[in-house]
Order: sequence, then structure tokens, then C-alpha cells
Amino acid sequence: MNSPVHRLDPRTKLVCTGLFCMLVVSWPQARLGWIALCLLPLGAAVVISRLPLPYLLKRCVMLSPLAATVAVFFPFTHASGQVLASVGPLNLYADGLLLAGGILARFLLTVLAATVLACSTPFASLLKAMATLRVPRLFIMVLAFLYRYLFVLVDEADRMRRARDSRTPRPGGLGRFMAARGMLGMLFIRAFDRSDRIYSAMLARGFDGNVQTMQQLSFGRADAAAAAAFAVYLCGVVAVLRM
Amino acid sequence: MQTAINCRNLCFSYHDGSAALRGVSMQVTTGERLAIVGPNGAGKSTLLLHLNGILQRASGLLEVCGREVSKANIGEIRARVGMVFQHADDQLFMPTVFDDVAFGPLNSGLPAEEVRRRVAEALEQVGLAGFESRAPYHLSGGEKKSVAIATVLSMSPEVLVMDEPTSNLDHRARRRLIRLLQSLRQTLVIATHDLRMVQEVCGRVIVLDGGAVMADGPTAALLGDSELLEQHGLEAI
Amino acid sequence: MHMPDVLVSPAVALPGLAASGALLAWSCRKAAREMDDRRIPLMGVLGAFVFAAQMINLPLVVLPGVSWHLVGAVLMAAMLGPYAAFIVMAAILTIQALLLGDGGLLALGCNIFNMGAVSCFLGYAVYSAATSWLGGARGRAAGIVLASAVSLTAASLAAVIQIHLSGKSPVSLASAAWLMGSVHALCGIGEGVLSVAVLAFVAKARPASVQERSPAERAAMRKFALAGLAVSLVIGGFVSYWASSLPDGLEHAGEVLRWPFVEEAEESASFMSSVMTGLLTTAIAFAVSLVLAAVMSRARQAVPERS
Repeated sequence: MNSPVHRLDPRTKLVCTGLFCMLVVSWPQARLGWIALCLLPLGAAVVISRLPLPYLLKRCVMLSPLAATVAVFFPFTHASGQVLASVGPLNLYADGLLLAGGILARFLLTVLAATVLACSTPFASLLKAMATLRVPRLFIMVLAFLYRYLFVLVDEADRMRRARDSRTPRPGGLGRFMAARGMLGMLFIRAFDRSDRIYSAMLARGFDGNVQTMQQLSFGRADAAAAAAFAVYLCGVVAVLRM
Repeated sequence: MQTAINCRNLCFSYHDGSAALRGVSMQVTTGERLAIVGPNGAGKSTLLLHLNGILQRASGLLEVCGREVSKANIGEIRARVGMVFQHADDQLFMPTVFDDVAFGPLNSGLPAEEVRRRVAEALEQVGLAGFESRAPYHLSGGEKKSVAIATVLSMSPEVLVMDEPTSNLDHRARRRLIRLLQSLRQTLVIATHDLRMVQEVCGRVIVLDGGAVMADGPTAALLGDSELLEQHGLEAI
Repeated sequence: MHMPDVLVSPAVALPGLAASGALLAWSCRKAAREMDDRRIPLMGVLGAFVFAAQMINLPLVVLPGVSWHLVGAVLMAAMLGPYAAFIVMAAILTIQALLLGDGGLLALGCNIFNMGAVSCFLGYAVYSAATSWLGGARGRAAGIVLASAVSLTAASLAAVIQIHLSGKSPVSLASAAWLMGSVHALCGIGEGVLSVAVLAFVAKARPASVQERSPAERAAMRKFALAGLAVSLVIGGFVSYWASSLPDGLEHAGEVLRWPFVEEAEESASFMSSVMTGLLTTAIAFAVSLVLAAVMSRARQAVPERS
């Protein structure tokens, strides 16, 4: 997939997403209605990046259990303001409901922003962005290897699970525990052996402990434009909130 | 004619003490294409891993491109001997194809422009020009194998060592690989079970069994000797 | 336990980012100095292993319907040492946040602190203490189970505290701590037992990967354990002092709660009591894990392995 958003420097996107999330999370509860203003930059990003909205929303829903669980308590436990309804000892408070709504709205906005970032930025360029931002090199290497072999090992785990499922499982928790132990053990051994082979391959190509990288990121005009637009937006929003 | 590999009486044992290589001797001239064949466990891979110093021999002489294979020379040796391992997945460990093919030249300390040129050349040579920004995970088996070879070609080695290059390839990918091998100018040492490929690519064959050299001679003669092949666990073609 | 951005206010998230960043930089320096190059791809691939392992769900026998999975922090710490393990866990959490959206970007610092630093460093301290005190395979097994229980509980409590400090918790600190703490203590025991089982399986096939520690390493572990204990006591003491002297923002929700369930816990709702709760849970986890470890090592001797 390619779009102007995809082509932006990952650092621009990281910084803008981070600032956007801070804005959303710090949005005063008293001005909750105005949070729709946040849809401006987010909507623009979604539209320009041509990412499919249903897919983005589905991911948000999939990630929501924890936030939803926390939010759902507030209408019943945040005892202030008007009581909207009463069932036995449980009371539904208006302010609590607003709090829950606020949490869910903020959740949706932040997760959407993070998802747009993830879907429009190849991981390899995120790694390069981290290198320019002086993130420790060892950490970046571990991230790179992890990402690289993640899908390989997940595939292995999947195959093992299917092989195990197609055999008659021993009844009860112990059977599943022993099966898990076997799978994890095999996965671990394969991972261990694989890392040995990777190391040999690294040595064979002259690796001597120092990883050399080539800087390939470039901050272009599109980045400057995006950054400027976002800065203007931020100033505008802060002004509105101060009114 | 120069000697690319000079190996005399090479001995090596595994951790548990069992002998892996017993007095292996061979001379490979520059530009020669040698196949090392034998049953599983014969020590083919073990022998190959000595050629770029990943394994250290217990005794015997081993010189590659005129230099003794030892800790002191290891950087030079590895710049001259390119090794392509059996499982491409373990050789393509960087985020993109470009990063993988550039890994070797970068480790040699070459400047960025030269590295870029070498990467482009290597990918061109294996028929994968334009694949720079692809991620290794999404490549097909044949493409991975080709990129693995490119990662080694970009270092401009004098000797190419390959462990089972045609394993797990479908017919088309295998054909492409054979054509690529035939086009290479470097000295080739290939450990393999694929005797048909050996017939097409290599002029000389060494039969290894139980860690020792059982036969060493021209391809036609050795591969035509079905008794010899049978004796050492190989299928006559 | 991956906290989304909404549950962590910037006042908590930003120091979390700073703390994790500093710890990461320090760990990278220490690991680079102490480690063999060979460990670098190992760390990455083991990280991928933990990721894949977290997909294998097991039923939590005690609470039907709830399932748990291996977190891997203590397993990593036992295999790689605390610094390398922390780097691996931080990498896992970063990828989960960046790629899967599991855990917010701003909250990543806090998540790395809880599930990386607390899990690995505290876990390793406990593991070292148990291993060097009890010695042998039994000590190692007990160490892993105990470390898993303690570190998972501590990590979950840290998350609860952070959500509280952000003002985003609907229930009182005491009830959240009690609930989260006890569930995670149980999961921790399960994780510990599974980790020990996996390591036993691996040790047979690849003995080189699970070596016995040399006396020098054991001495270093003992030092680490003591240091870890001291740091935990200082932090624990500081936090409880500071939290108990905070204006009742923390206890505000508790004061006006009417929901009967929570009211009971509110009777004893002082911060010290939730600390006591945590300690009690830990003590129980300790006792149970020692018994389990003893039973397991005896069971392993009695029943021949069938792989």
C-alpha cells in the first residue's frame, strides 16, 4: 500500500501520534463534547492514507476489553451527580456515565491513531527511526531479530498446535498442561538451534560484534508540511480549550 | 593455476568425542567446481564449516586462497569465502532484502555508495533486481534461496561454498538455481544429494563417508560407477 | 495487563517512559559488556519464542472461563540473566504496542516498567535468592516458581497503582490490589510450574542451554538478590509512605462507595492494609510454590519421562 502518509518519515508520524495521544488523554473532562475536534487530524490521516476504516475500527474493538471493563464500573461506582436509575443496591450515576463515555471516546481516538501509525509505517523504517533517535543499538538489534522471526515461530507454534489438536487429547487440565509443556519445549529448542544457525550465518558474512547500518531516512517537504499543519492544529485546539 | 583450497589430513571431532572428519585431504584449483557427496552424517556440512573458520580443526593443514585458516586471518578468510547455508531463513535475518545483501559489504567497511552498487549488482546477478525493500518473510522458497546467494555474492568472494543448495526447491526454482550456478565464475564447493545437479554443474566429485574421503575424481567417472554410489548410500542415476 | 493510553495520565506515563528508557540504556550497556556476541540473535529469537508461547492458552483451573498464558519474564531471566531478559521483554512489549496496539504508545514506558523491569529484576532477585540458598535442581525449580509468583503479583500491583495515580480507577486501591494481586499470584504459580516443566524438557535435549552456575556466578547472583531486596524495600517503603500521606484522592472513591461488595473491602481500606494483603498473598504463594516444587522434583524422579 502506498499513500502520502505511508511515505512520510516515520519520525514525523511517531512524534505527531505521540503528541496527539497526549492531547486526547489530557483533554479536560469538562469539555468532553469538544473532543470531536480530535477527529480532524485523525480523519485526515485515515482519508489520506487510504486505510480501510472498517478494518481500523475492528482492530479497536478487538483491543477494547480492558478499557471497556474498567469503564463499565464507573457509572456504578462514581457516586456523584444525578442518579439516573436504581436497581436494588446498584445506582446508575450520570457523572459516572459521562466518565465512562469519556474513557471509551479517548480509547477509540488513541487506538485509532496508533493503528494508523502501525499500518502506514513498515517496521523496518520504524527501526531506522529509532536508530536516529539514539535508541541503544543492542535493543534495536533485538527488536529486528524478534520481528524477523516472530512470524516464523508463530507459524511453528500454529503447526504444532494443529498437530496436537488432531491427536486425541488426554482429558483434563493435566493433559493440556503436558501438551503445552511439550510444545513450548520443542519451540524453545528449535529457537535455540535457529539462533545458533543465524549466528553462524552472521559470522560467515564478517560479523565481528559491531552492527553497521546505513542511514536511509530523509526528512522531506511533505514531512515539513505535515508537521506545520499539525502544529497549527495544536495551537488552535489549545486556544479553543482556553476559551 | 592457483590453489583455491589446500586441505591436508584435516581431523575434527564432535563434543562427545566421536570423530567427524578423519584425515580429509583435497586440493581445489581456482575456478574449479567441486561437489561433495555422501550419505547423511558423512561429515559434508562439518567439512564445509571449516572452510570459513566457523569450526576449528583439531589437526591438519587448511589453506584457503593462499592463507591459513586461523583466528588471526579470520576476517580475510570470511571476505574471500562466501558460504550459503542450507536453510535460507536463517541466513536472511535482517528486516529487508537490501539490509541482508548489504550486511556483508558493510562489515567489510565499504562506503555507502559502494555498498549500494554491490547490492544492486548482486540482486541483478540472481535475477531479483528491484527486490531491495521486500521483507524476507514474504518471499517464496526459491526467492529466499536466491537472496541468500546474493547476500554472499555482494562480498565478491573468490570461493563459494554451498550446503544443499537445491533442497526444498520446486522444479522451476531449481532450474533457475542451476542456471545461476552455471553462470558463476567463482570456485564452487557444493555439498549435495542432488546428483543430477552435480552432473550439470560440477566437473569434479569427492565422495565422503564416515568422515573420510572414499573417492575423488571427475564427475562422469564417479557418477557412472553405480557400485561406488551404492556402497556409500547414494542413489545411482 | 497491557495498559492502554486512556488509563494512564501523562503525569504518570511520561516519568514511566523516562524510567524505562533509562533502565533500558543501562541494561544495554551492562549486557553488551557481559555478553557473548552469540547472545544477540539468541535474545531476538527467544523473544519471538515468548511471543509465540503467549499464544498458547491454558485454562485457569481455579477460575473457570479464565485462561492464562506464559509471560516469560522469569524464564528469560533464568536463561539470560536479568539485563538481557529485561531487554527482551522490553522488545516484546514494544512490538506488541507498535504492531498490535496491545498497550498504548504513551503507556509503553509504564508497561515496560511493570512487565519488564519489575518482572525481570525482582523476579531474578527472588530466583537468585532461592537458587543460592536452596541449591541444586530443586532450588532452581523453587526459585523459578517463587520468582514467577512474586514478580507477576508485583507487576500487577504496580499497574494498579499507576492506574490509581492517574485517577482512572473506578474502585478503591485496596479492592483492585486484592483482586489483581491474587489472580496474578495464581497465574504466577502456574507460570512458574510451566516454566520449570519446559526447562526440564529442554535440559534433556539441549543440556548446554541450561547449565549449572559456576561458583562465581552464584556469588554474583547472591549479590544481586540482596541488592534487589534492598531496592524493593526502599521503593516499597517510600511508595507506601508517600501514598498514605497523599490527599484522599486515592481514597475518595472508597469513601463514597455504596456498592456492597466493595464496601466490605473498604472497611480495611488503608494503603498499609493493601500492602499487607500483597505480602500475605506473596507469603501464601511462597509456601505453595515450595510445596509444589518439592512435589514436582519428587514426581520427576518417580515417573520416567516419555517424550
